[in-house]
Amino acid sequence: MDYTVGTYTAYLALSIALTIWVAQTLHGNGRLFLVNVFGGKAQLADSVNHLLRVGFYLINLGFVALALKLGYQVHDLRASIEALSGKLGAVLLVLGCMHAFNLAVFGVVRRRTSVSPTAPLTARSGGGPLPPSAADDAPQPPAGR
Amino acid sequence: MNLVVITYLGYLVVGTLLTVWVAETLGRSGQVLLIDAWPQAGALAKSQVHLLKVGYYLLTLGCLVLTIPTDKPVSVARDSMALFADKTGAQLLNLGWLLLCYLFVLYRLRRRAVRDGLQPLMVT
Repeated sequence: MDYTVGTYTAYLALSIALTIWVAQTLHGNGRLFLVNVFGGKAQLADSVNHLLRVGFYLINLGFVALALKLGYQVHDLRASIEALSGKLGAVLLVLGCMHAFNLAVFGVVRRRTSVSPTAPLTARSGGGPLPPSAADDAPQPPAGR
Repeated sequence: MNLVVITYLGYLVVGTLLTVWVAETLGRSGQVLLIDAWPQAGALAKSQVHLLKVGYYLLTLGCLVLTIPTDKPVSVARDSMALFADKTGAQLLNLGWLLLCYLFVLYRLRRRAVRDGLQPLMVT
């Protein structure tokens, strides 16, 4: 196995592992965020969360595969590290930008649909989460801020 | 293994340690900041800070890894140290300005939570 193949293999292994790790972390931690965005509708949030994860996998694995080819031969460890750094750095930045974009989009969605500030402040003063039924019945204000 | 590769690896290790340290600090303090504004939504604040932290890791580690290569000749220890200092300094600056951006985002989240008295809808 020459250095080029080794570089390709290391790149694929690292970036696929990274993609899976990020997707699973976002899936796990994004749920509460999405439930909050969608005004407490847990089922809706779960399905959107699932769709987002599938889309995330598709786009990132597609990008990883497309960016594989080096275009030149790698002959030593130094060149191999340099090639890997360019590729992996791009993958990390793309993952980061997509993540930031997703958060920004849902932040906007939440601002548009968030529960009205005049809603009863029981949870604020009394502490403890709202029961699911109350949350599902929470008043939905008209769109706009 | 020659001097360049050793420098690369040293930079990678030191840069990663610095990144982890800053990101974990950001996570811990950001959580305090949000939970203070949203006392009834501890889990939500935690997951929100975690999401922000993942983004911070991705962007800073991306910069760290992207800036590894150099075309300067590295043949003696002096070159190696200069290269190491250059790269580590750039990474520290990256960490710093991105930390400020994230603090701004956290501050805005906190301000909105306080202003709107947002009802966290916790359905588990």
